[in-house]
Amino acid sequence: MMKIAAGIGAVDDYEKYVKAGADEIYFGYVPGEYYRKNLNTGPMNRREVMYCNVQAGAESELLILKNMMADLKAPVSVTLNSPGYKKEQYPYIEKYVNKLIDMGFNSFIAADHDLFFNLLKIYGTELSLSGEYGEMNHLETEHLKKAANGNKGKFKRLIFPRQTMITEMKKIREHSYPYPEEYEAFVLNEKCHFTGAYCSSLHCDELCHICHLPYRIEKKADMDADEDPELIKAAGMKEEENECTGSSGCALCSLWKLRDAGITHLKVVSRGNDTESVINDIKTLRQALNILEDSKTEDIFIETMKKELFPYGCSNNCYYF
Amino acid sequence: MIPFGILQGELRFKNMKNLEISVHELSDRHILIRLPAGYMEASGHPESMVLYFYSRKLKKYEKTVLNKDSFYISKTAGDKYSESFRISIKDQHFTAVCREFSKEYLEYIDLKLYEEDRIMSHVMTEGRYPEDWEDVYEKKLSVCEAEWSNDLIKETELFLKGKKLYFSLETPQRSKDFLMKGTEGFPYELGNKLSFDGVVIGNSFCPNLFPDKELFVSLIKKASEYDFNVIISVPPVPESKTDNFISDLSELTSFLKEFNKIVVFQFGDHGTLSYFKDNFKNEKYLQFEKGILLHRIKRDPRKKYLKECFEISDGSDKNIMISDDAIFGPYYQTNTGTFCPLHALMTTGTRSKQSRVFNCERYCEKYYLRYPDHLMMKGEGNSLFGFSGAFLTDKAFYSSDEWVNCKKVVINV
Repeated sequence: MMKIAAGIGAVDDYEKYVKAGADEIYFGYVPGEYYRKNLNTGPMNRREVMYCNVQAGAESELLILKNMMADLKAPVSVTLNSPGYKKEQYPYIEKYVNKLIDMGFNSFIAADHDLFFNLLKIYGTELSLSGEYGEMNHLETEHLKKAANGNKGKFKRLIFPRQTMITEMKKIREHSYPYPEEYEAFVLNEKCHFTGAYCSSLHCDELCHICHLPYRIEKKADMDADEDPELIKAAGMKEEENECTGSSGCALCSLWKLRDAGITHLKVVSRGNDTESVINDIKTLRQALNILEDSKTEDIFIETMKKELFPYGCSNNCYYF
Repeated sequence: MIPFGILQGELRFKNMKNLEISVHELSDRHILIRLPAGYMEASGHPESMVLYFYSRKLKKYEKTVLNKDSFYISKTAGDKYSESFRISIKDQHFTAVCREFSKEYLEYIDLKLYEEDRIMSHVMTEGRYPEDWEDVYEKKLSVCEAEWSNDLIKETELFLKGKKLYFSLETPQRSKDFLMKGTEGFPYELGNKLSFDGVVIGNSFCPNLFPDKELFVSLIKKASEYDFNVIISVPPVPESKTDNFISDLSELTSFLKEFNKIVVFQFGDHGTLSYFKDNFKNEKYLQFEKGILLHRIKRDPRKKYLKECFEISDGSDKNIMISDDAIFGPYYQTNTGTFCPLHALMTTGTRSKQSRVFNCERYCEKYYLRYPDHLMMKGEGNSLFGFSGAFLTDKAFYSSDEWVNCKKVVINV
């Protein structure tokens, strides 16, 4: 069965998410001294705010997390998934990774090309390539395989960017397996309008995400946009989106195809979401996976899953279609 | 838990290394912390404690050092993973800083829960973000382009100083204009009034806008009429289009041999870059580099409203778009969707219903997304772009590494 990976915004969520059905957890950590030096500039990961609980907290919290891991056994990865770093950040990140390895965290998620190779080269860590890395194709996995050859670390998992077709995932996996062995796809929440790796705009506390800014669609030539038939048609096509599991992005109908494509892990995006709704997402996904196991055909799976999990209609906000 | 980004603590022990702590509860007389089970027993009572409160007003952390006589620790709860401790604090500085901090934090929560984004931005930037202007659509960016281009014509010799000047043909319209009219087709009379050294062909952002073979060959031939150098910008290539890109680009490389110049390819993904570096390493007339989307720099037209924050590490509020040895302007990319938001908007009524676009209808040739004037940005095809006159108007920019290191300046109006 495909495994569920969920992100925590506080250490207490680890126990709750694992008990709800998550198989793996990922989290972000920014040392206090780094905040004091850089504030919210030069972020260490894609959790680029200071005022919300999207990181795990202090070193003391990580030690508590270690206690929980020893008991509940669900593996944990540290996200170091900023799409790019400034040159002067690398020495600090090296120090940071050493500190986490000393604390017993040995699995990282990286998005920056140079950081990815440095981690493989310097440390004997397990590494996942983040969905924030950029467009993925089999030449990329070929390149990663070649460049990482003979290094200490292990390229364990490829996390596909949100904007990847399932047929593309399948082709890349067929070309690349067993390097890496595991493949992860987004299945719930935060279906961004833009590709994470190419989102160069600010994700700070002070300003909204650039994709939430107001805009108008206009014709390039000086013509009256109000009378343009294509614009009128487009405006009339908007379907209503329901508030339910996956209202900001859902791929539960695609589970059959994702499994068929060789996906091993399913990502529930949960940074910044409230704990109760993430628990609900994980439970719903677990139920969907159980239905998938019991279904003989894709049609039966979708019909049963929709009937049982979305009796009042789904979000209509599909990740893959 | 109070977010660790805005409140950090540190326990300092006599015989153990310092321990970073999060604060789970806060009042002007106490804090609640927690430690791994058994930690306090092993470490003993801390010698001192340091708290760092972030002050939005001051744009820095206020440090409060508390020695062991000013606080009292009592255990309140515990389980197999952790133990919680209430720390009562008697210190005037702590009380004052804590009150100010709480006021700011509660204000943030209020804004986040109850206010519109624009109001939140206005308050959080201490009035610098002009929330009222989000409804103002009066001045088109083309007017700014025209003004900027006029300044460029006047100032080029002053700022260029040995750098090569290129013009970007990365949109279908610019390519068509160049084919039909040559440099006379460059807008704002740039082709007549400036001396260009080369052109950029291709597209850095969208695989559907990369010219087909026929157009590509025509553009190269036209460029050679002007003895232009050529940069070929290749977008990030999705798996479903990889085979076509590789076969088309490989075919074009043999045609480029006749061009009698070194042709620079700038790629949007490491995989395709690596493929060409490996397979064409003996072709001395080809040079392979990292393109714009492999140079990841924070760019946002609203940076200026956060100037004080950004000065700390960036030293500037500039929005820069670079490739391996070129700097592009006045437009800079802020966002790109490899599926296309504009296509989704035109075919489904919403930007969120995106999928890979095949047989593209090229809505981007007819439509664009217009943003309120103060943002100086537009949505063009699958990307958003900001407009900045920085490398023309800001003399301080000429001492930046980005400017010093670039050999080519690409005009992308």
